[in-house]
Amino acid sequence: MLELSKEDRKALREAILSAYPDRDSLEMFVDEELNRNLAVVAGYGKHDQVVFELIQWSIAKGYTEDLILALQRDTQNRFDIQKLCGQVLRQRLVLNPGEGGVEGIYLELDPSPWQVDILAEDLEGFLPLQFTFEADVGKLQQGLGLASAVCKITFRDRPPGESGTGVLIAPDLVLTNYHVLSREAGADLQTLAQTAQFEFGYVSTAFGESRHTQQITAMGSTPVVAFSPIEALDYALVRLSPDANFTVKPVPLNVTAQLSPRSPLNILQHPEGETLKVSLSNNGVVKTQVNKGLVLYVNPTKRGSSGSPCFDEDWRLVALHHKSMQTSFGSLREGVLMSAIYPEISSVLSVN
Amino acid sequence: MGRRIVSEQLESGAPTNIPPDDYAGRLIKYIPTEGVGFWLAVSGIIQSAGNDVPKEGLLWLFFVIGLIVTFGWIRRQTKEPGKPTAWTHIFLSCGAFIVWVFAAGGPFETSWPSWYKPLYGSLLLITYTALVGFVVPSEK
Repeated sequence: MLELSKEDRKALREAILSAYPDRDSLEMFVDEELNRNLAVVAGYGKHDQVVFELIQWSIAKGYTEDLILALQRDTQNRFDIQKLCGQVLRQRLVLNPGEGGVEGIYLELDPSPWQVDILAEDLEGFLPLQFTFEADVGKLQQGLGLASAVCKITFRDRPPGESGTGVLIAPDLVLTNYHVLSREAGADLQTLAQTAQFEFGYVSTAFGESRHTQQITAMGSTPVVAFSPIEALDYALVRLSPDANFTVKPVPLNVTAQLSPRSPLNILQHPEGETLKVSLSNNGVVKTQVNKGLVLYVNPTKRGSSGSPCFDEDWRLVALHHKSMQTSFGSLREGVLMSAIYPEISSVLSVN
Repeated sequence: MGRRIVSEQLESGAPTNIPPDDYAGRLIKYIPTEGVGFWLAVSGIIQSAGNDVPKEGLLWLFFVIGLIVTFGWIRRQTKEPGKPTAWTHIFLSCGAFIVWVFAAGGPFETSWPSWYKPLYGSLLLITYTALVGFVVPSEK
């Protein structure tokens, strides 16, 4: 991965500010060249701060080269920026720098035999050992096949970062948390749901490829067909108005699950409004509280993950993620069991 | 970021849904830095005064004042609409204030010079600070 020195970062920031002096032009650049939403990756604020956040995001996500290549491609008439991009990229390629852009660069490799000295210190950076496990590829494919049924939920009248996740459990019904729509008890969910947008297929793509998502809105003036407040089961079932091209299949349900401690749990989620992520575990369940309809687990989640589907080892929906909590010796996540939700929504599902 | 310790949080993207505090976050919030700063300043002034003032009495007086101020300040800082009073946080912060004063000597050293040893204060401070971060308040 390309590592930028503080001088490089400063020069890159100044170059971006010079090429895109206002937010609108930068927004277009990020959208067209990086296929990202500026507000999501860098937020709002003063323009120079937004550029700073954009660079920080690219470093954190490993997109630094993509950002520089995109900048270089988009500023062909700016010799100073072309020169800067070429200089920075040369570090990555360990090249004999030539004049002009990266096109003029060639590799100068030492053809000596492979001989790599590994010291203990070199390996210390990999400690502690990461949690790993063997996954059955067939099961994994089965799970990833369900990814199309998971949607990112945003609202027309709220900032893009204020998002949640939902899952299609019937051809036109999305299940999410009550608090994704509103944190207030007694809120007018019907009105709130009408401003929601359900974006299916929001997954990362190869650099340069456009993303094909399907944005669906809620059906009519009373789209919320069932709900339970935050203090109870914290869910909302929303009817969508899909068009004829919407062919996403709903996920299978497991409404009788008795999850035992240390059993597998997998979550498909849009943490922080990002592209779809999967959190896998083969022993993630800590305990269930069947009388309260809750399950506790250790799979990592973030803001924006509320409403994410939790699947059992057979990739059947067993719970709806909604909360994160701290204990004295670590953090836990909490989901609402489908076995508790299903009796309240079964009549709606059977009509479907 | 509020002073009140967040021990659980809903995870929609709403800006109010800040992540729960981990050990380090709880530790920082429990230590009443304002009260400790107040005490260090006041005790320094009293200790540097001449022998014509009742140092011991003044140290005890301002220790009590510092404790009351810490109690009131932390209670105010942790107050949030619709949530119960953060008693666990308030009492642990007041406890931290007492431990800091004890570690610094203060009225304890002046009143009981034969019994008080700075080592006790240092050990108590290290132990209290290391352990207090493990406490997750029961008030949600």
